[in-house]
This record gives sequence, structure tokens and C-alpha cells, in this order.
Amino acid sequence: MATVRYYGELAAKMGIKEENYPGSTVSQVLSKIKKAHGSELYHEAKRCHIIVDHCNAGSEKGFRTAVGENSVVEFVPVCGGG
Amino acid sequence: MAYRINDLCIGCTLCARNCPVGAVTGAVKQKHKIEEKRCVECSVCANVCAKGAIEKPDGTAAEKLPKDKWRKPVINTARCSACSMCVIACGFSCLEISYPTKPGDLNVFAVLVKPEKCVGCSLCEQACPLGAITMKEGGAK
Amino acid sequence: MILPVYAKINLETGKWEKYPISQELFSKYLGGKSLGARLLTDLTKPGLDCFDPEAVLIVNTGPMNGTGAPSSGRFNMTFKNVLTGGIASSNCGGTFGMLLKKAGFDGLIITGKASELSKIIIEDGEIRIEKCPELAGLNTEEVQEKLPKRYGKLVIGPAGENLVRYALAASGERVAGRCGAGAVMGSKNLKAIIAFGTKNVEKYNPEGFAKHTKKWVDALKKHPMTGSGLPKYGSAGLLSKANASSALPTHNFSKGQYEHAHDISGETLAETKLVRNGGCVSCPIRCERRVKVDGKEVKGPEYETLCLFGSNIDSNDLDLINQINYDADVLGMDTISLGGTIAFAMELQEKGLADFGLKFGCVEDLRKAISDIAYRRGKAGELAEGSKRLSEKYGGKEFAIHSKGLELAAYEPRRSTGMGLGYATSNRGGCHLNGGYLALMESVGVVSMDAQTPKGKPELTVFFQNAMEACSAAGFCLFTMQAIVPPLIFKFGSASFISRAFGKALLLARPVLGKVWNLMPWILPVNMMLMPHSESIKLATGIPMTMGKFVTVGERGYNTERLYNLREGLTCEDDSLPDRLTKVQQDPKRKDTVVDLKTMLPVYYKVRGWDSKGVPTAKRLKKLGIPVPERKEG
Repeated sequence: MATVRYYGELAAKMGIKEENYPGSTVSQVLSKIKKAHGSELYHEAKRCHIIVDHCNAGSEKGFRTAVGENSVVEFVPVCGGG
Repeated sequence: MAYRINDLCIGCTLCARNCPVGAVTGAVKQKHKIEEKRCVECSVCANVCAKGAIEKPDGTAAEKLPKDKWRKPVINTARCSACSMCVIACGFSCLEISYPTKPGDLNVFAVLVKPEKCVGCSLCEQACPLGAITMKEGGAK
Repeated sequence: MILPVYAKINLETGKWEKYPISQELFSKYLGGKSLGARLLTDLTKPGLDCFDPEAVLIVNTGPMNGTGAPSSGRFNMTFKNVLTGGIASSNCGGTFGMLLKKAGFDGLIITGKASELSKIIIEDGEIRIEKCPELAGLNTEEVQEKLPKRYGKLVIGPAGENLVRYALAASGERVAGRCGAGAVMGSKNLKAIIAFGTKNVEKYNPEGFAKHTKKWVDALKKHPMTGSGLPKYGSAGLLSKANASSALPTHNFSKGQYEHAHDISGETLAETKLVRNGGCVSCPIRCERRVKVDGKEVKGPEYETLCLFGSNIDSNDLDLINQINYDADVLGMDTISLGGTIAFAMELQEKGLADFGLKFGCVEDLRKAISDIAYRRGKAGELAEGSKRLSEKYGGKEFAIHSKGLELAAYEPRRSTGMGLGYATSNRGGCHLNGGYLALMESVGVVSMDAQTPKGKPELTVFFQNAMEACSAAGFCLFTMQAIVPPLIFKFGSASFISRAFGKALLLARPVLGKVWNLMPWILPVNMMLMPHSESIKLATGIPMTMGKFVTVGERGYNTERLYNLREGLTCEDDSLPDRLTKVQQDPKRKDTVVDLKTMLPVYYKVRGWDSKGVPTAKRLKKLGIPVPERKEG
């Protein structure tokens, strides 16, 4: 079971900050999220910055990035700063 | 160009107290003077002067305007971006940015919080980069 | 064309005169830091100490200040850097800039040293200097309360008077924090500058400008970053993302993750402390956090302060961070340099190299230590010299986290190597913003870019350094630049094919991009809403600005600053980072978690058109229209 964490507005909308899902890729985790939270929140999670074990999924294999048994998958909504 | 004060002035200080930019100087019961460099030609001094001592930049006499005829800012809250240009422009701190209604509420805008202190100078209207402020007689109804 | 009016003020004689800025100089440098660098170079002789009475302090605005264009409330201070000895430019969003302009001046060139503590008063196109011994020792809040209410103010606190090397100048609650602007004012016995005027800032094409401003504000409001991300969580929103990406400096930059990061995150700040948002004048983004300290509503911490007084010193006390942020502002010290120096002192203590009474994780006495630094008293008083000077005395250069002498901002460069290159090459020292801020794309942003590779980073760094320099020179806030990331990318998310392709393309395009910069301004002879800055400048000033020309203004400014640094004795050796960041892997399992400066620097120099020693070539300078300095013998 991978640990999934939500941040910012997404956490507020999900009403939960951390949960566990099975899955071997980011896509699979996302489909579990869709089942549990509905398609709107699924889309919002998909739009997030997705970090798997401290590496940006975007610079790995995108939605096909591998998720391990003890992986941490983090969803951080868009923010800016400087 | 600026407004001027002529010899009809009795030094009642009303214009000095109402000038939104502090352009009027003078002691009580003495003729007042308008600092040309600072005057913004808002005609507030003329609106309050009961003696008709204020002359417009073109030299004609200006007339007093009853308070209920003064124009006040009406804010288009949908257009306002809360950038605070008007808040800084106001000489009497009449405008403020509204408080969020609940935590995380980003929909805030300029509000005329002290309408009784507003002299109707329209500096806020000129300062607004989005044209979200319109001066209307009597203000928002 | 509407030309700027500058005033040259001599504090020693008390005299002032108008200083004309030619049309050529204005079109080439616009204002702010770029024009500041030009003037500082021209008006000072080489090798002058930063505290010399003859040293010049420039306080100037850009052409956009006061026009009402979005986020155009930022003014600039340029002077000789108190920490690095090179160029210093410090940017502030207070109301002083706008009111200086309304008072009839676009910039002030201040020289000389007043015999007694003094203030400069600027009213309706006139300037006078008055003595103000009664303001001595007052903090930045108290002194502003004593000064006339509606004036734009620029003041220093006790730290500035005591020449703390990273003392700030404050305007309202906003500050020009970095590089020691407050110390320079203090060295001139200048406690405050105040300005008031009623002149409206003239615009070349008022109707067109108003229309363009509306369009731009709408675009900013709609953009996911400036319309929602920044207003919701402020810059503090970056903290969670930085932590997740291992880019959150922890324990004096020895780690990239902090186990209690959530306690000091933007989310926690917003949920538990945030009273409301605030903003600089004329800004529709409004990212400022307003929090309560001792029952009073004050400015809350930015991302950098949260990290440097949180994870970087192993503390998760959010209330304390809010308090320290306020303390540092009123005493008058830059929280980045102050935080960096304190973390360094803690590590010195941990390693037994010095004793300042400061330990990681022990924050009970931190407030007292900070106050001691501002007054240069007690054990901690020595920290007022900054980490570079401390490391020269006590050792520990390999973990003194600064570049050129200026402490690094809160982005761990080993997880965003392009940011590492930016820190090393930044003209004012270890600054993320002057350094091109690639971290936003690499580790904390939406574009999915390989954070570790050194390839392609020099080309992008050059572009962003130039673009952000131009943005500052005009008087805009750099956050308006964040809206140039196409909104489409956000629609699909950073892990999507589009975003990944965009990130990859930016890196793969390096051979093209490297050449393209040399062709500016001809390659972008247009104005587009993608980067609305140039059109806005054109409408406000009448300068025939295009996007290409705009970025070239930045390149010109950047090179001018570089030339000043070289003139003052800095060399390519100073384009460096401490060994901890270049030699020690952040993740022992990943070889690429170091900043590979050796690979990036030569490419960077080449793309910039500089020689192998980092000196701008005469050819490049001529192309940019910058006077070529005489070559030193040997």
C-alpha cells in the first residue's frame, strides 16, 4: 500500500490529508482516487504537482511513474512564490 | 494651474481642513493661500467656501455646493482588484479594503468605510487603474 | 517620450540639484536596478568602500511605478554591496516609490555623509534635509509613526544605525531587505527619506494604457499561479512542495527535507494564523500574509523566512517565526541573511568551532540573540558581520552557505541545479531572484523539468536572469513573470505529457536558445499578452518597446552589473558555492544530487558572450551599447 498525501486546497476539498492505496503506477493510484472521491477531485489531483518518493513524477515517467509498496505519493496543487 | 483664494477670505479654515492634499495654508482669521504646486483642482475648497472667496483656475468665481450634492465614490466591486491605489490616494482614509467574509475568501474590494468624511474630491476615481470607481451625487444608493 | 527626473543630493553640504537622464540612457536602461547600476558605475570611483562618505546610494523607481499597471509598486535601491563588495540592488514594494514619483522625482542619487542623524524631505518637486536626533534608536515602526502620516517613507531601524551588514530599509511594512541598504543609509547618518506630492504619473497613451491594464489584470486573476496559488497560500505555499521534492534547506542546508515541515507550511499558516491577505500598492495578486503577533495585525512571513527560521535551524515553532519575522522587520534586518548567518553560527557551535550561544533546535533565546545582533552586543553581536566574514575568522567555509558573501535564499540547489548556477552567477550574491529563479521550474513549479541535469540550465538561467532584470528595471514585481507559464500547462498538470514535453523541450532546445539570446532584440519584434510587460512600458512611456528589446534591457543591465563587480575586484572565482553544495551529495545514493558548477559555468559564460574568465567581451558589450571599460594591464 502506497501512502498518498494531499496538500493545500486539495487536502481541504478531499477532507483528508493522508490515505493509503494500492497500485504500481501513478495512474493506478489516480484511478483509485477517482473511485473513492469522484471524478472532479480526480481531475484536480491529476492537475497537481505529483511527487513520488521525493522525485517529481513529471520528470520521471509522468503518470506511468512506478509506485512501490512503501512509496509516498504526494499531490501538491499549483502555487507560486519567490 | 490651480485654484486661488481672493480677498473675500475671512480665514475660517474650512477650505484648509477639507483640502484632500493639504494644499491650503493660513492662520485663523487670516487670508488663506493655495499652494499651486500641490493643488489638484478638485474644487473641494470652492464647494465648502461660504464667502465665495475661491477662484477657479480660469479666474471665474466658484460657488458653494451643498453637502448633499457632493459626489461620492461608487465602487464596482466586481471590477475592483483590491490594489489599494484609491486607499492611498484618499486624504481622509475614507476607503479601505474589505475584510474576507470567511477564512480563505479572496473576494475583497475597496469599500467607502467613512462616507461622512468623504469630501468628494474624486482623487480615488482618478487613481483607480481599472475604472472601477465612479463619482456619483450622494454616493451609492 | 516622458523622461525621468532624478535628483542628486549631497548630505554633507545639504545641497541638491536635478540630475538629467538622457533619452538614450532611459531607453537603454529604463530605471530601477539597471539604470541604477549604470549610474553607480559612472558616479563612483573604483575601489571606494561601501561606507565611504563619497559612496553613492541610489533610490530609484522604474517607469511603471505609480502608473497603476499591475504589481508596479516596486522601487529599487542600488549601492555598493555591504556583504559582497560588488553591486547591490534591493527591491521593495512600499509606498515610498509611488509617492516619490508623485512628489516629482523618479530617482535620488545620494552622496556624502550628514554630520548628524538626518532625514530627507521631498515635497512637490523640492528637497530639503533636516536633522532628526530625536529619531535616533527608534525601530522602523516607531520612526514611521513619528513621521507625517500620508508621506511615503523609507527608514532604517537600530540595525541600520549600528551598521549591521544585512540591515534593511523599510517602507511601511515592506522592506528592501537584501545586501545591507539600511547599513549604507546608517553610514550616511540618514535615518529616513520621506516624500509627498500630488502630481499624477503622466502616461504617453493613457487610453491604450488603461485598456491594456484591464486586460492584464484579468489575465493575472485568471492565471492559476497569480490568480489562485499565490493569493491563497502566499509564497509560503512553496514549502510543502519544496519539502516533498527534497529542496527544503534543513539543518543549515545539510538536508533537503524536514520531518516537521507540515507545522511550518503555507497550509498550516493559512489555516491557523492567517488573518487576511495584504499587498503592495497597485497589486492585484496580493500574496502578503497578514498574521497576528501579540494581538496586533502585522505582515506575516514569506517562504524564505519560514524555511530559514524553521527547517534550516531545526525549529517547527510557527508562532516564533511570525514573531521573529516581525522583530527582524522592526529592528531592521534582512530575514534571509539573518537566518542564514544564525544557521551557520549554530553549525559552528555544533562542530565546536565557536560559541555564540546558539544551538540547532534550541530557540528559547533566539529572540534575544537577534536583538543582540541588531545592537551588536553580547556573544551574538558578531553575527552582524554575516556568514562569509564569520567563516573567515572561525573556519567552516565549506558550510558557510553564501555566494560572494550574500547568504543563499531558501532553495536547496542540489535539488535544482539550475538554481545553483543562478546563485553562483547572480551579480548581487546568493540571491534566487537575481539568479534567474530556475528553482520554480525545477523543483517547486509546474513545468516538469529534470532538476538534476546540468544540461540546458545555463541557457535558461541566462534568459530568466535577463527577463527578471528587465522586469525589475521597469518597476514591476517579479511575480508578474510567473504568469508567463502558459495556463494550458496547468490544465493538464505537471505529470502530463504536455508539461513534460514542454520541460524537455526547454532543455533540449539549448543549442538553439544559446544562440537565440544573441539575436535579441530582433527575434521578438512584437508584443504579446504572453509577456505583457513590454506593451505596457510602450504605452506608458512612449519608448518603442518590444518583447525582444525588453529582454535586452535586462541583458544590458545584467552585464552592467557584472562589469561593476569586476571593476570592484570580484572575479570568476567568486561565481561559486560552498563545498557542501558542489561536492557533497545530498542523497548519498544519487551522484547527481550536487551542483555541477564546473560543467555549467563555461557554458553559461559562453551563452552570455563572456570569455572563459567570465569577463564580458568587447564585441558583446558593443552590441548591447554598453561602454567598454578600459582593460587593466596583465
